[in-house]
Amino acid sequence: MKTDHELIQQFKNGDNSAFDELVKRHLDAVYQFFVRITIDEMEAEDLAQSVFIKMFKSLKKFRFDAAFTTYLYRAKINTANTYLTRNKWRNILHLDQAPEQTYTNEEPRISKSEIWTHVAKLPGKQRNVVMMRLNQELPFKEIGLVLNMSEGTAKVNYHHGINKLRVWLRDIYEL
Amino acid sequence: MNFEDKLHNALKADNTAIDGGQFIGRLHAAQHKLELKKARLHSSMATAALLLIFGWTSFTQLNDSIFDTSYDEYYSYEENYNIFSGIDSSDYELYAADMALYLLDDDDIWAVLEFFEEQEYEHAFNTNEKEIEL
Repeated sequence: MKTDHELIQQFKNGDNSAFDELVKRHLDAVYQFFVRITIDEMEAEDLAQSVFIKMFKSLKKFRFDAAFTTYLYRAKINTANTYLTRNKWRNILHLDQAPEQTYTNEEPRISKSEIWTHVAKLPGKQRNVVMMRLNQELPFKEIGLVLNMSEGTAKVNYHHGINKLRVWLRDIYEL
Repeated sequence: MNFEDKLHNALKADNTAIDGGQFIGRLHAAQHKLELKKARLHSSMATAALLLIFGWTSFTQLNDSIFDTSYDEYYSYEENYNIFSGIDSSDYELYAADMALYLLDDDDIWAVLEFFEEQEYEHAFNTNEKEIEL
């Protein structure tokens, strides 16, 4: 089985089927990443598609100095950021609605859209770290590698981000 | 359950699968559509550039041939324009002589000399280089 770098080299030499092979290999990870962020599966597929279109355009300039997955993570983060920012108005409207009242003994479950609405409000670095940690449960070392920061910085950013989320969501869910 | 676990629970998605083959088909269609869009954009840009060049050239040509040239041709102004420049020198001499005779009829030689001076009638003074023999 060919490595990612071998496939990229093949693609750079003009073989587009190598790119299809790369897509097949990483599609599931990319799609699952966006399924956790979006409400609609169709929307997740559209975002995955836009990530691979970006990859298709930029892989010709790939320098082989990092793993393809690192490159892919950055594209996912950028696309997710654009999506969250673009839908901010929709999220703000959604915030105006009180969470549905549950009359059971169970603790109220935090809604997914509520979480991402608040994640979108975090400052850049905190948002990226929190997004990667919550979505993929990646170790801080890997998060630091993808986002060009040390493991310690990633931990600090996550800590601040989570604390802000706790404060914001406490008012809604009485956590 | 701590706060982070609650967040993870809320984000836990059902393991939804995606058909790779269908996805790649749709990806190819989207890429094709984007390339068409890009080609259309390039051709519109090229057309716009051509129109701009053609329009500019036409404008500058019109500017040179009609406005500037015609203005220079019909409304030129020369500071030292001589009213007699277009008249043949023999005609001018005739005119000067007639005028001098007319003035001499009034017996006023100074008026004649003043007339010559006004006309800058160099011929009358300079060409007569021979001194009158006494």
